[in-house]
Amino acid sequence: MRLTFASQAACAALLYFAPAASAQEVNVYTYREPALIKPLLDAFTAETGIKVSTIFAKEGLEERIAAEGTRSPADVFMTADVASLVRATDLGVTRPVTSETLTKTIPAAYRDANGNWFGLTYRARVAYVSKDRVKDTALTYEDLADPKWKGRFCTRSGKHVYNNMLFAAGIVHMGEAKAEAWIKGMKANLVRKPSGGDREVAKDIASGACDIGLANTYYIGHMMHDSAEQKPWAEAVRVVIPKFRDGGTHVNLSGLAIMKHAPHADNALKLAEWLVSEKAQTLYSKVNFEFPVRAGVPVDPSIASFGTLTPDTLSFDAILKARSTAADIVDRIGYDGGPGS
Amino acid sequence: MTDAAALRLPAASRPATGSFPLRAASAVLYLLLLLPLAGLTALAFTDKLESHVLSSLRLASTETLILLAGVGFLSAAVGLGAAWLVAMYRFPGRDLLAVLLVAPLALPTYLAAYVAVELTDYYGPLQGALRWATGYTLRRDYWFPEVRTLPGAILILSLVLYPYAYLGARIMFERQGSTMIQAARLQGTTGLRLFFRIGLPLARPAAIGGAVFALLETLNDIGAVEHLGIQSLSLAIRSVWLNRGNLPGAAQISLACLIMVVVILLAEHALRRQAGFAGSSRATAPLTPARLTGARALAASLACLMPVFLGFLLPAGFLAIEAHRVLLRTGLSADIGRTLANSLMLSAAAAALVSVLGITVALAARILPGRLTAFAPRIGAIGYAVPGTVLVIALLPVFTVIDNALERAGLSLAISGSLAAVLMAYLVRFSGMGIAQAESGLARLSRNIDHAARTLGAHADRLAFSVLAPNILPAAGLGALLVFVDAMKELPATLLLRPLNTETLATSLYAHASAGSFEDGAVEALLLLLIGLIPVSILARAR
Repeated sequence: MRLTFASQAACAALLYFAPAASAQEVNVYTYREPALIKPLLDAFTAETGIKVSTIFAKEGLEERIAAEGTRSPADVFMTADVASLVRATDLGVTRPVTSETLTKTIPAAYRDANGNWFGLTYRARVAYVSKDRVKDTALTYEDLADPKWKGRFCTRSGKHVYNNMLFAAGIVHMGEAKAEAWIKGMKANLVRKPSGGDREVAKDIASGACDIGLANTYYIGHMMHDSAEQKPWAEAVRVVIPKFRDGGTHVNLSGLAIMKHAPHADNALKLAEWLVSEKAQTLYSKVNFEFPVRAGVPVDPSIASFGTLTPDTLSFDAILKARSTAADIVDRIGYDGGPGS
Repeated sequence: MTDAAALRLPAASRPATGSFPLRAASAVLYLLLLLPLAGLTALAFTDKLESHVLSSLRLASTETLILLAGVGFLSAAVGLGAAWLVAMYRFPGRDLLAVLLVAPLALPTYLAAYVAVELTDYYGPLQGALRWATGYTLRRDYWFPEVRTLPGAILILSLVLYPYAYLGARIMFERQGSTMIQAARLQGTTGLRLFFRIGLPLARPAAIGGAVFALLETLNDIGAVEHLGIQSLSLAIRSVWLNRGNLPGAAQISLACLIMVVVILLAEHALRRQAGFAGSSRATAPLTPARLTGARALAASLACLMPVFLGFLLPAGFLAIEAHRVLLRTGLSADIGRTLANSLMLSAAAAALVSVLGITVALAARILPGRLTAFAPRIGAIGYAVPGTVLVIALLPVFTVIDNALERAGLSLAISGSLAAVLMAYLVRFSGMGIAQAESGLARLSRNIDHAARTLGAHADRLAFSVLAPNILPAAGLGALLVFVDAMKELPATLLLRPLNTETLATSLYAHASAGSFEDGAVEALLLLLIGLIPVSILARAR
């Protein structure tokens, strides 16, 4: 009796939320925050009439799509880093896509050679420094381990994917032993235990708790324009774009993949191609403060003011392979234990 | 016949047959919990044990164990102390405080951490006032306690998790312990002596039981520890899974977590056994609280106000101000009604399902012969023990199996991607709570009742549903309320399993938080808190 009720309730819930079948729709599983992609998706719907449904999560979507298999409603998978795109490809949930629009617009380094995933924007991992207390205008990533920053350096957790990828890039550039010394040097410079997110770096610089830290480029734009409370944090910060001694600046991608079992594959491709259009790329730049992959679309002035960005030419494959070693080093030297640990 | 004698009744005199619902409930529970556990174990054994798994485990264990010990001790101490004051004394504000002392339960741990950092950091009101008063300008010019530390995390988590111990201890003092306390009072034992001689031993099982739920919540938390920079097992699991691409390794650490939980539960079981005298079922006279006056009354009021203020009033006040700002800036989100409805519906459904399952499983364990049914209640905690996201990953293949079966049956229904999947995850996650409450209700009913009913010819179903069940409804109701509050706060399963375009208050708040400014989700956070207050105020009045 009770079980019947339970199953009835479950069925009712199922039916109630079953998406109405309609050709003019596309379903997006996304790691990008709703606030960041909603303006883009709304503009896409306004232009094409294709309704976009979304699920936002922070991890595990690749596994969910894989488990859903042929029943998966997912058409498009959007991520905030290249690692998830490659993971999805490795799990076999993506489909190779041939699209002249995509291959012509997106530089080869920023898409999968087999067309399984495409980068839409990139962002750089840079140094936020105090306008008042730091005079340096040019830095290498290696410089961040310089003892002159002792008790002045702050970051989020070394386990976070943004730092993990940067450390992995360091390993590819320097080799494991030198990279370990580099990360150890940064740890020795920490003023506090790694915690919070990239915005906390700006906040801690503004408060005078630290002088220099690692963060992604676009946060400056968001803090400047989206929040009266956070504006002073951004204003206290000057951005220095570091390079590796023998390379460029570490960048990561946001991007998308079209799903193997996408029920609306045509619309998925339309969305992908629309997202690299001049209009969408301009929106990305204006709303998200990211670097557009499309040549000729300028980055937002608040980001362009940092100076010229020369992205590293390391392949993402090489960086991704070094992630596990980067995690090993972070564990081994106790990066997250903070100063004095 | 005494209770103990009833326990030793030969198995033959127990009803050996019948009762489909009871058997079914036990079977359902085993399936629900053992399938994901099997999935997890299978996953853990798909790869060898890598050395980085062990080193991650070792690295995270230290801080995790300190965190657990700290939260366990502090939450039990605060809960027990407050329960004693409220049960034993009358002082200004006592009746209101008695209710509000449960309120921090409505605050999710991750939200508590965000708010605590916001209030205590450089830009928060406290440091602002300090700078205003002292003339300092930079953070490094003065000392101020930092909450992004292990002690900070212990304090923050304890302040929202102590109500579990408070609720249990208070009920114990007021209901079961009253006779003993009254007797001791008549002999002239009062004050601290009374607390340590009678109160503490009396409430120990309840306090330990409450502390265990606090510990399980702590072990499962990922949002608060990440924000506060604690090297927890939950974060180690994520790093092994995502940074090293080693999902089997993540499953291996989760199994280690599970073993840790089994140890905690066994310890709890052992500690509860020692305190065997607490299970009296005799009707007792209600406790008459002694009136406090003057400084002692003030001290009691302040002592009870402190956790309420720090764990609820302060965060609620902060969120109210932020919510007001959001409303002025952007107005009420158009989706807020649907978001709220989703939260309410899911939580209510979870509470109902968990209670039904909890009652039937507890009844089956009491009435039916057989070790499997008797052991069933013990496995309920598995759901609490496995970190949220890993539990969900382990559940995914289960959904696929069900969906394949549905498809073969010709039904065009699927669990995956539906709210049913979320509910099933809640059932797995929270059934331990439902069972625990139903069991504690049953424990108060003498075995003589069962014996009498059976002597009069009642079969198992009748004994279970007509005789025993009505008597444990209040206890099960408490369980339902706790599950309702927990489900409202639940994040990992809701986030990863919900259907397209479906938000709850918690997921909506999380979306804002992960975009870097949780204050934008203040309206959702405040609603979460205010709705949590309804079950909380009922819980607080429970006798």
